[in-house]
Amino acid sequence: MVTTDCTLAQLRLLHLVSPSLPIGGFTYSQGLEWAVECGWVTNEAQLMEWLDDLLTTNMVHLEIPILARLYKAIDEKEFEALTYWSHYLIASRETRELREEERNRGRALASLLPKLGIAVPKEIAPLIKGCQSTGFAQAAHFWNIPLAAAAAGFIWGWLENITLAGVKIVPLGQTAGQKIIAQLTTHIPDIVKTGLQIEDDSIGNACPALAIASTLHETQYTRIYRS
Amino acid sequence: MVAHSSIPANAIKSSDWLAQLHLGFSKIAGKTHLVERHRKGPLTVQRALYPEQDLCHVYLLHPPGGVAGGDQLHINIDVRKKSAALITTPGATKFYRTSEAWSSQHQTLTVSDGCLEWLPQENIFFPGAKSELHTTVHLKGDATFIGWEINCLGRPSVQESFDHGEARFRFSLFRDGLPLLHERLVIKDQKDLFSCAKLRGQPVFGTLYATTQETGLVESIRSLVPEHHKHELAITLIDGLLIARYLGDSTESARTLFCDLWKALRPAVVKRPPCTPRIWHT
Repeated sequence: MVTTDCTLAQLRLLHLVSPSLPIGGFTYSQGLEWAVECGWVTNEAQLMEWLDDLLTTNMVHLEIPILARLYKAIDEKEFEALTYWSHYLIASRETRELREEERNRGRALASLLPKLGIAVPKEIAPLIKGCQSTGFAQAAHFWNIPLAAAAAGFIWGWLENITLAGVKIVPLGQTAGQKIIAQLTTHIPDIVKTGLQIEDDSIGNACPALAIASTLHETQYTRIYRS
Repeated sequence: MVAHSSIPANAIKSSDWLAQLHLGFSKIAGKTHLVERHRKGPLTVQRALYPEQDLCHVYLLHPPGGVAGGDQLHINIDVRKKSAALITTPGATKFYRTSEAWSSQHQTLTVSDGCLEWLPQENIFFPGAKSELHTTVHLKGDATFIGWEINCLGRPSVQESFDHGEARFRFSLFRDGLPLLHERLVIKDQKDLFSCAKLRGQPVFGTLYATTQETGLVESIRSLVPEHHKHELAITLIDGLLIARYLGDSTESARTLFCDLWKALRPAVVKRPPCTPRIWHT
């Protein structure tokens, strides 16, 4: 479906990626809390490097190609493909906490979206409960947000959440965090472009160090974040 | 949506090894037999051994002198109902430097209501190798599985880093057709090698996988990790699969740690005491 009402779609996207969306985005660090604890990330430059790494690998090869397939499957009402890619994304989450995060946020989205007037077909609801990205794709599609814009917003929302987690954990000043966001935002258009061109065979990204950080976070003695 | 090789077709010369090995295990009269053994090219196995009476131990032999550019190895293992097999290799698998032709090893492990222990020794990727290693595991019904993969980029023992070449890894595990785990790692330059969320410049990385529904197992297995390795080895449990990941600088450490975990896991997963393959002692 093509929309001419770009302004409304843009505003919808701002709403969808807002940290105030009650799906708990700010409660997860995705292993960063342990990476700080063990000395891998101790300053602004290292936080930037950690995030840049995830942008150029994880976002390009996993999040964006799968988000695109979920969005397309919703658009074409291809339930089988939607199921396949929702499962694929969960299977690509390497640790218990990363899976729980995906599912917790998915469950929160599944209950929130209908209250925002976003139709969630009955057969899709279980998929959203198991996979946050499926819920994001459903909302973006329903609100006529073009795929590339939705993908850019998805990345930006992630970047803001994790940067702010980093600012708190390291800790860094608020300005340092804002500088990181401003700097890394310049890469997002290219990341979207490349990510949308990834073919099925090249989907997937393992990050051994991040997986170790996320796993050891499970038993970290003092922790604020849920992942 | 099946994963295909990403090696271009024109990168393969007719002189290259195209090796295939298919092994099928079945339980007959209370004992697992290697009932199917089809091979093409230099991949082979020695005769099956029975140090534990009914469970079949098999040693997989790679082409003499390792895997060179252009070689394509396909390994297909099929473990059928109630049968139980342990497969290992007598030594490390070496992937050699190549000028342009890629080498690949694709392995498909299918376990249907049986049990497979897949414990190959490490893969060593020489500087300049261009290699692809794909492993696909299909578990069906009540299948149980313990497997590991240990990869070494370059030769840290002689201070040779993987400063050129390319390595692509993919590991996919399915339970009754549904994807349970997908991992894909591409190392194509120094940036990938030193990437802080990936390998952090460490040459050795490995993963051990074990099916289990016992949530308490993960705590007892974690307690076995020696203090000085506690930042190199991490153990998590996802959807009925225990995963241990190693990232460090020593294949020997990875092997020793995984072997200890395997010994501790075996009674719970395979319902047997540990029985170390004799070939590891030689």
